[in-house]
Amino acid sequence: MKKTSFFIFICGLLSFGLTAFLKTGKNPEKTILGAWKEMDWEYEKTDKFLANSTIGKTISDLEKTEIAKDLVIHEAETWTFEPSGNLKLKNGKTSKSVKWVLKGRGHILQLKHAKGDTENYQLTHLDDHRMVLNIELDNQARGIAKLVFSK
Amino acid sequence: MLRKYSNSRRISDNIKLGSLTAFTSGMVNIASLLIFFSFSSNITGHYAILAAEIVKGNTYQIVVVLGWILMFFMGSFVSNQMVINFNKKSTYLAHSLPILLEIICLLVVGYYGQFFYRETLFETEFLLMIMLFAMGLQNGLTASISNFTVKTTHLTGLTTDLAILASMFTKKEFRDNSELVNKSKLLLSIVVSYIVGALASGYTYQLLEFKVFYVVCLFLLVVLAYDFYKIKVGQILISRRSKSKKITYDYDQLLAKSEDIKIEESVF
Repeated sequence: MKKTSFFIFICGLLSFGLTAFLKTGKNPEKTILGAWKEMDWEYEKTDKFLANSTIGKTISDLEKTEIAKDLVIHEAETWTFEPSGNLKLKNGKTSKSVKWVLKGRGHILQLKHAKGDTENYQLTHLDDHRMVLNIELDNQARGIAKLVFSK
Repeated sequence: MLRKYSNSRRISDNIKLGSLTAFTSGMVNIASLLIFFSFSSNITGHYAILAAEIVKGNTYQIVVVLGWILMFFMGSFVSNQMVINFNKKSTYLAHSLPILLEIICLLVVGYYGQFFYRETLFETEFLLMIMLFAMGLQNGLTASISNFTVKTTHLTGLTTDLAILASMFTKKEFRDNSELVNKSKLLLSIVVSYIVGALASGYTYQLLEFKVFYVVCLFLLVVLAYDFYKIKVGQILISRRSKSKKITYDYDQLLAKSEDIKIEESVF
């Protein structure tokens, strides 16, 4: 029984340590707040023979329209994440609002339309100045698109 | 399923326990993937994610994933503690306590999810912790009481074992080995149950959402009730047998006494 108590004590200590360590890390739910400007759309992977060229990776405006035609982010230039859970997508004078939540360990950004439809994006990079979202593409485009934002 | 321990278990006990618990873990795993975008019954992936997050230097994610792994570890630890500490008092009690605790954990997840979940990241991570603890409890219990034969929350080792057995069965000498055949039956029943559970969860999730966890609890209750019923029936049968034996014994004693009286009367 003494050994068990000791073990439980160690686990408690470890949990305490982890919680304290957690405080030092940046909570993605807080880091994401604010206005993000869309900088770039590109393919995550490119054809081998175009590896050293930017042409192969960059997604043209035409392709972008095709990829995002069914997505809420279509033609949005500025994304503003609010603490209330609203995301405002602005493009010039037009603006649209959807709900946002983070799932998993903060690696999935889920956007919810008013109608109840959802869109999921993989949050592959997030710091104070840069955010990268990945979208899995169902069309004939090459696999995964990368959206790069800056704050 | 739960009354017997280690080597006293028959293959049918392990198949019943393995199938039912694999079905529930398949359900839980897919439910957590659909709701929280993270697995809750297999840990190998979490170790890989942990390594990836360490490389990226994401402190927050490192701690979260470490916490998940620790909770699965704690679940298995607590489960085995219950088995080894209560086994002398009652095998059924020792083996049913972890399942009971698992039911409570899943009920908490289901109830909280249905009525209070606001989809914050903290809630997601915390509910996943509870689910990983529950899966640790289940895996620790099944592995512990079956002498490490039944593991139902992940299928990596199991698929390897199945492949090895399939390879062995290409030779007649191994096909005739009943122990190996029984082992393959057990492994296949676990795989099939896990997939069926996962599919059931996937198809019913849109309709049930967090109520899926209540369905899982129902299946776990079946595991508990089955053995409880067997024990009660066994006790009733034993008490009836001992009663009928006692009646026969009393009748024999009366008969012997009356014969003694007759002898005494004839003497006088």
